[in-house]
Amino acid sequence: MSETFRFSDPGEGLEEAEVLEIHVGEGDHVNDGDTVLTVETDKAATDIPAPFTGTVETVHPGTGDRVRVDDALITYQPDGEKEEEATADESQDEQATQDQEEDTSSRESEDETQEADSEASKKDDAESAQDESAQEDTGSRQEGETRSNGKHTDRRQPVPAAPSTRRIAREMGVDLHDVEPSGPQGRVTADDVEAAAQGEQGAAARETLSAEQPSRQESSGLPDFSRWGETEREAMRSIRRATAQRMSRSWQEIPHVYHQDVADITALERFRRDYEPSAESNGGKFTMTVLMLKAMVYALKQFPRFNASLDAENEELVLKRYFHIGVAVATDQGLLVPVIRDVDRKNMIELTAELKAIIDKAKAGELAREDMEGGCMTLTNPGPMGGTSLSPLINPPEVAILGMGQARLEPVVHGDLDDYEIKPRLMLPLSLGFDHRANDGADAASFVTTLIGALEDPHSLLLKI
Amino acid sequence: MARKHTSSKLPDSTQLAVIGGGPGGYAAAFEAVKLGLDVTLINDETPVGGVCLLRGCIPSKTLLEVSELIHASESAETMGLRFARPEIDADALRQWKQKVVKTLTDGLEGLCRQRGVRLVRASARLADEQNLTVEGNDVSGTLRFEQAIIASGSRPVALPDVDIAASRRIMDSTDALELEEIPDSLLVIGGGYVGLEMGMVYQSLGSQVTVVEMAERLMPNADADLVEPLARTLASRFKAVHLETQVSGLHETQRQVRVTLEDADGSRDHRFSRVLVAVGRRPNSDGLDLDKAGVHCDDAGFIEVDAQCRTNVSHIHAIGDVTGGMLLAHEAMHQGKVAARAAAGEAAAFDARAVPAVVYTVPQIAWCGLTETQARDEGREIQVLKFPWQAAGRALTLQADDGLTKLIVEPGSGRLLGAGIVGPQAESLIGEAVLAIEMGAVAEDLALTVHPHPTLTETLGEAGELFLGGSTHYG
Repeated sequence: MSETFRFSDPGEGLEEAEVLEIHVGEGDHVNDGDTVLTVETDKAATDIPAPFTGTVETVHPGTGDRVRVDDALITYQPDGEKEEEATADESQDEQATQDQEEDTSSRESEDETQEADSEASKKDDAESAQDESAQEDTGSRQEGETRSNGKHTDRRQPVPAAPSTRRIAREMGVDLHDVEPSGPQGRVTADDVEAAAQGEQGAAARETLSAEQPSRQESSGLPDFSRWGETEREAMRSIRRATAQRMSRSWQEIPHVYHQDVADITALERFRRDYEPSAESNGGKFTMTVLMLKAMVYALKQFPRFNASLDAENEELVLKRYFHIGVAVATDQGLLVPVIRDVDRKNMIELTAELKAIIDKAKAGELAREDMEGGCMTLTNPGPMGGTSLSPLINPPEVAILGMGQARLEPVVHGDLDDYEIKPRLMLPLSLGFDHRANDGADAASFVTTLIGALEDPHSLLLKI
Repeated sequence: MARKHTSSKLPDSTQLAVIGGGPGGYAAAFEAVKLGLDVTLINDETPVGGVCLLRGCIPSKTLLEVSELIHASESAETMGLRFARPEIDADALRQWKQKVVKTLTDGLEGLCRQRGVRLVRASARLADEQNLTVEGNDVSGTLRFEQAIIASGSRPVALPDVDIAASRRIMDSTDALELEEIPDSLLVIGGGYVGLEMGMVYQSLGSQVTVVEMAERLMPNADADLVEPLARTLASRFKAVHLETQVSGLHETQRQVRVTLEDADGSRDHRFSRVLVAVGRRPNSDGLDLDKAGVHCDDAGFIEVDAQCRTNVSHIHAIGDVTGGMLLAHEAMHQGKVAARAAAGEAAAFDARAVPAVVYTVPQIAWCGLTETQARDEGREIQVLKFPWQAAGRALTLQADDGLTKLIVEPGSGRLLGAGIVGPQAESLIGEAVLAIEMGAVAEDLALTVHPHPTLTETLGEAGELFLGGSTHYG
């Protein structure tokens, strides 16, 4: 008997993934542990190993499809299961299935194996509808109209819902069978699907939702933009979608406050230039980002509540005794934040090489899920592209993010009102975004001042790191 | 979206190649350009429109309208209205039919131009997974595609040992629609909807029509109670209807066709001026070199597809007749849109719960969703609500009291699963039932919906009332 390998959660709490690559085809023999698919889960490419040894019969998803937990991935014939071992009845069924004959018993047996999967059984239905027609041509000599509506052989009855609601469910990846209906006579409404997608339970929640928030149907009822000129529609692919979800969560949940200041990095830049060749001895580029990583660790050590996560439910701050810093990288696929581990324990030569390696990996789309997990605080440096002030959003569950603006040579006044001199200095704008639930404005000011102190005096920075 | 293609020059490559310009193909092409794809529609005959416009739905309905008028004028006598026997000008009728077809095909070509679909008149075969070999009078070459939609349709099944193309008196549905002559006698082989519709056309124009069907009743896959009123009409209008009968020999002579019919009692020879073979349709999947791209079909040649209308080669889609299903234009159009949206990266799926079928005989038959026959075959528990039209005022004014509206509902909830209608206007009446099923309506919803009186739509409301324990005018 054929068995079905279904998609299961490859990481914590993931519900769906996008199929990037399919490594096997129909008829291929697969050993336990062989990579059969590569999927993109929450921004990372993950290889899915086969949990079986056997021969692939059908690969259900196509490249670019989104698969959800419990969706059928591969139907296969396991090794070591010979036809004779199956009961006569079963083998007959199987034969009938393979021959694609119209046979009620075979159809039922197929339904049993594919019961929980609507996509697969839809295909099954389509096939059996075709079987009917194939037979008809040779058999009853009937015209096309007799390929009658044998589309509903799924044991699970179709869930009553309007075609528009079904479309929304499909787009949101919601199985209608899992949705609690609120409509009359058990009908699933568009709001029910929306609520199910947001994991909301109970009619009260749904009512609030429909009252306060425009439903998906309404929001997709955008004006017809083409009335005002040419437009194009671009699907939100996996990374864009994940960024959108994560950033709206950040925006909605975290009370962001920004503290901005400017650091004089003239001396630091001289230091950077002087030691560029030796710092790059293991490869990479000795950039201001590398120095900033070190300075951040110094400041984080002074202010542990910035190296924290908020457990709102238990009203606790989780303080971290490690120093992993996320670095925002703009790639063709979208924004990725790989994490550099244990920045406190690595020297600048090591960090220079590692930063380059992880940026290359991100740009090649090869980051694994674990490469992007466990950050304490994020550093984003759009400065080279310009900008004097920025308001980056915190990457949850972190509580702070540091943004670097563009360093510029500026006239700086030293001295007092009566006795001063003006010097050209290289000034770097800094913006610290912090979660006001975890820290206050005074904490942020101290954090940034400490950071600037370390940056302005490279010699003391040496002592401090 | 503002791309305009006026010439049919073959480009080197296209984002989406659509093979076949029938309803499925053009619907797919229009949807895809709307979604911003660069689309090349390759059609192997000069007018677009496919079987539906050129050799199927549209020409046959044009002729059937005439047939219906003739029948109506005959039955008007009961109402005290006597017409003289109509004079039939076969040339004018043919021209009228051609005019209707041309208006529609011209309109379609206009739409292709206006919407920016590149139309190429040529045949197309797969060279490999990414290229088509295109051959036409004006254009030939290789077309590289990112994605493709195969919408190559179907054609009539021939009988073994009968060369319809070489024969003058033995016709398929395409020949019959040409209306080359109105024969004295016509044998229709096949009691499905094509045979019965065309038989009715020829009968109303003056031919003596005989039907032969292998099964024990006409249209065996439609519910028997829906076919019954039609069978009664045919029994009086046709010369004979032979059920459980096979054609064991066909011999064409200069002036007629000798046909051997064989049933349980033995075989007899009959002579007919012409014979129409209408025994089914087969997919046009054989000339496409599908194997070069590795696209699978089943044993009957239908291309296997999933709910996104993707073949086993995921960037090649297939829709409509060539994928099997009900072989109906409206199903193909919807599949075409699904395939186009899937090709554009949208989450689309063909998940229709009730695809309607309409037979344009007099009386018309229409049904959708689950049939009683099918429920019985599947051992599924259902409740059937039948509202006979004797109880509908409007039906009596139309002399349509042998009509019937029936609903197939889930016991307990009354959820609508299927519907069937026989009688005039069934083609339009079925629409309400299709929408009700798609919306997940229950019988009570139909009952509580106010239907205009007096109309035939009331029969749907009253059938719904039967679930609640009896309708106003029946039960």
